[in-house]
Amino acid sequence: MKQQSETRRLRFSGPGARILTQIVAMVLVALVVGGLALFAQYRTAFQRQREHLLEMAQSQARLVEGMVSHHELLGLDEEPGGAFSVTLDELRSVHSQFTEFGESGEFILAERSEDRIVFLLSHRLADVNTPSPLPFDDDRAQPARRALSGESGTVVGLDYRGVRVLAAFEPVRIPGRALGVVVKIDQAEVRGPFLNTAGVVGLVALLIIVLGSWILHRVGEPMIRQLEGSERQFRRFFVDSQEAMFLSTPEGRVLEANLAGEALFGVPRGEFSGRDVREFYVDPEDRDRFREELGREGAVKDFEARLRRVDGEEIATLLSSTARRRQDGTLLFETVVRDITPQRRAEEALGESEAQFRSLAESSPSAIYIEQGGRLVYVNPAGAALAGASEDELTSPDFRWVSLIDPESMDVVMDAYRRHGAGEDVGPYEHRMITVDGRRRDLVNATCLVTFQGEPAVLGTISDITPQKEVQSRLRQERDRAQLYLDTAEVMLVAIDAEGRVEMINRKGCEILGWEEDELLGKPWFETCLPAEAVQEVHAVFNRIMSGELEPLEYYENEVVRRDGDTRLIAWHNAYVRDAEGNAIGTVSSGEDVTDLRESLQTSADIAETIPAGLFVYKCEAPERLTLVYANPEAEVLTGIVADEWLGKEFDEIWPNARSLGITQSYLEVARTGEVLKTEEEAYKDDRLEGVFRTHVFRLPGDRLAVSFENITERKKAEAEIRETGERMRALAARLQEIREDERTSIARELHDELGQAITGLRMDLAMFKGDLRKEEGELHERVDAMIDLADDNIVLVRSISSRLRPPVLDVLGLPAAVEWLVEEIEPRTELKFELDLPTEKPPLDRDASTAVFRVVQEALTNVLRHAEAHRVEISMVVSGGHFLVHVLDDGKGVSAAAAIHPRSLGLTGMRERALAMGGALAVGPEPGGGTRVTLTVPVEGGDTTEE
Amino acid sequence: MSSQSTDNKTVLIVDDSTAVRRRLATILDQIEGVEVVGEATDAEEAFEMCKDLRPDVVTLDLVLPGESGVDVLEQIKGLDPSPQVIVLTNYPYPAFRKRCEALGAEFFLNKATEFEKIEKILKGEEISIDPLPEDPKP
Repeated sequence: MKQQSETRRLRFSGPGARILTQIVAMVLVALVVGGLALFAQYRTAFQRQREHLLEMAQSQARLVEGMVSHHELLGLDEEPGGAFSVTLDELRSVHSQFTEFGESGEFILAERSEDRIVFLLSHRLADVNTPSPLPFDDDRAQPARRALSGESGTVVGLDYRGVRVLAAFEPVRIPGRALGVVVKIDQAEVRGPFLNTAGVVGLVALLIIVLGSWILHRVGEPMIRQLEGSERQFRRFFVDSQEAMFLSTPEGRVLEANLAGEALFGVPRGEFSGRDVREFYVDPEDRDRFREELGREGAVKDFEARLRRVDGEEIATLLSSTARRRQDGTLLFETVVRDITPQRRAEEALGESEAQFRSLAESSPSAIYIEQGGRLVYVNPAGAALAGASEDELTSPDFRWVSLIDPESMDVVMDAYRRHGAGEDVGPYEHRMITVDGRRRDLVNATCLVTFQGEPAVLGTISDITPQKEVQSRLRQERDRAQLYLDTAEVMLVAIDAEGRVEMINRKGCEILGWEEDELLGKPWFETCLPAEAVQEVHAVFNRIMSGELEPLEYYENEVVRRDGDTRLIAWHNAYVRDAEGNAIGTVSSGEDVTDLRESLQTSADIAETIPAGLFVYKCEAPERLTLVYANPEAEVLTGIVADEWLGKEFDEIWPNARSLGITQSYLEVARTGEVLKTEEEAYKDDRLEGVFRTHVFRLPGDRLAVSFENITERKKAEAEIRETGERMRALAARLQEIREDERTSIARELHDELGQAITGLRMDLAMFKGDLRKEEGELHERVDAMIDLADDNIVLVRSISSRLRPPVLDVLGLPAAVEWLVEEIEPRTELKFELDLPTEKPPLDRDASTAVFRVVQEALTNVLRHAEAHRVEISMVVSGGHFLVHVLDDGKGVSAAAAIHPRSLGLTGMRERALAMGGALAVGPEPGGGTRVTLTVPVEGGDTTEE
Repeated sequence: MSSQSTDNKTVLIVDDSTAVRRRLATILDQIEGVEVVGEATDAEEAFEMCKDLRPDVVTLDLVLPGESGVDVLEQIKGLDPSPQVIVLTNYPYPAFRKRCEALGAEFFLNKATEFEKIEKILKGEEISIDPLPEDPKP
């Protein structure tokens, strides 16, 4: 502690010393920096002066040399003293006008005369003739000596006066003379300005430093004082604090403790320093953990540890410590010790009372919970079981107990909590909960305000009343269901009291009778709802039953009258309501409207008797057993079975081989599944076909099976004949087409070969004959020309006829070229525009198929020209997916679907026949956008690539 | 044949009509330096004779019994493209003309109205009209 305070005192010594130290430091810095700067500047200026002087010396030497040689050229060397004396005179004359340079700058011309230096020009600063001439080796006039020795350069040395100068020297080279020039300036003059500047700068710097230090002092001193104040406050806080504090080294050596610290641990005043903190720990491991945490985090807050006073008493404490680094870099721990022994004791006491509460609650069959601060802090096992989760889960800080409340009950529960919050008493209330595993429970919850662990809380006790609620709910449902049954029953339900008035009637009853329920209730039943002629009789019977004269009738059929006057036949089932003595006091009757049923049964019977098909009805007596219950007259005719003899007999007995043929089994299958069975069966007798029967087997209500059958032998024969005739006709048509095509080809060829070639030959002869004619035979020329024209016309005609019969392009170039030719033939004669999309290669079709396709296209185009009123026709041919496809599409008025299939559309029929003969198909129909599309499909081999 | 009479232009006539063949042979034989070396009446015969005789010129009808003149033209030019082929047909349709032109026929003439041009072609005179003239629509 002493060491600590000394360090601080040194650091914060008086303000006078502080400012003095600052000024000294700043002056030193200013001197060094300023001195260095000035010295550098002086060096530079000195060097430049040196160079300047040397240049001057050299130029003056050259000038003198130049003047001497000039005077020699002028022939002045005849003068006394020679040309040099003339030059010298001129120099002297000039120098008498020249004031030299600077304060001390001087120009000197010297000559060596034996062992002396003779100065030839008068001097500015001294009369050189008085001490001079100087001896050559005199210390003074060092620059002149070096110039006269023939050297060139600069030097700092003594001049002829013995004054230190900066001088430049240069020899003057004139034959027969040792001359030298010196240009010099006093070193004092060079230095003078720098010394003056240094003085001024130093003075200003000193002023600035003093001023700066004063300002710093004014601004900085309060801050420093504040810091010092803080330090003092800290000291006071440390010493006077009611909290026990001590400072220690990382090794655990106590440096200092405050009064409260000494008091807490019972250490005599001032004897804490030097103690080892370990001695205060009850459990040395606590100290290790504390130290480790402090080392890791740099600070520890509220570390709970049991410590021991010097008198041996144990105390519960919370330790908070921060690590701090001292000025010398070593670590220091500042530790605050809070004694929490009283709280711990109180908690222990509370814990005991809580334990008592817990032991009661744990064994309670009711669910008990404590809610505090928005969460459950306690739930007993019964409560946990009710909620469907563990006690730990329910009391976890993350668990929201509100999630247990059914949303419909939320208002009730929240209201109770609000009232608790306002300090009101809240009586037990019912609500519903949803358990964690999703069950709904109805509860009665009694809550009250309690204090738990020192804080207000809500204690709740819950009883599960779900079973009671369920019973109530089931009763309600039963009642509702009964009403529903009454209302949805497909029979009329009527209750009549002993006086014959309507007590109750259901919806169906109202519907059948055409009354509203409230209109009928209380009305006399018999007078209102029975036909006038039956009222008396039925009412009398009713009265006799009510009086006990007659036994009640369980089943009864009678007509009722609707409100609109219609009558309906009702089949009644009656129950009698009796009083405690067993007397009938009314009836409850269910009635079924059997009017339609009776009618339909009659209708069915009529149909069965008259239809031209056989009908057997079998009863499924037991599994695998069918018994004949009905056979209509047609069935008797068709099978020769006499119904009266066979009714009641079994199926297998009537049809002995049915089971071996699987017929019995398939009929039983229908009886089982209800799926209708439709068959065509051939009936043989003695291996001879008796006929073909079409049979429908279907299930009837009441485990009955109906088998209707008709003899379709004749129809089958007719169908076969028609099919055969159709095939023959088709073959014939195909053959006719073939013959026709052959005929056309043959005629076309003959026309071309015989007639055409003959006319061509004739045309050639005529042409040659014309060539042989002489010019003057003009009339013959004309006649031959006319014959040639005639022949040409005939050739064109023959070519045209033969091409139409059988286009040579089809045979020579194939189908696509032939279609192109056909279009070229048609186009000039019409307004139609054609678009062709044809393959460049011959399609894989033989000659007959190519011809057929060509004829179909030709016929399609003929139809377009005749009927379509089209402007545009598209023809495309493509091989795709094993088929050769031809489309002829026009934009005309469009063929009607009826016309496309009409047998009289002979053109289309012919096209269709050609397609069928090739194994292909033809589709003709209207195009969605208008117009007609004809699509011909012909199978080809290996044609699976698309050709363009 | 052409190798024997080097000066003469040898011609093979292919036409199924005797009348036309006879007249053509008469006309061609009258031309100096032209020698009709063979006459064929169908495609098979035409190809065989072409192979054997190696004519300089072939006059070719298109519509023949069996295979067509177009097939013959394809075979001849496939064998040796040098013979000059003059197609001479009664069906001067554009479709035929295009096909023959594509297969290498040098001339395409209307048999009835243009046969005189053969003489000029064989004489080596440049006929002033287009070698494959525009034909009238049939």
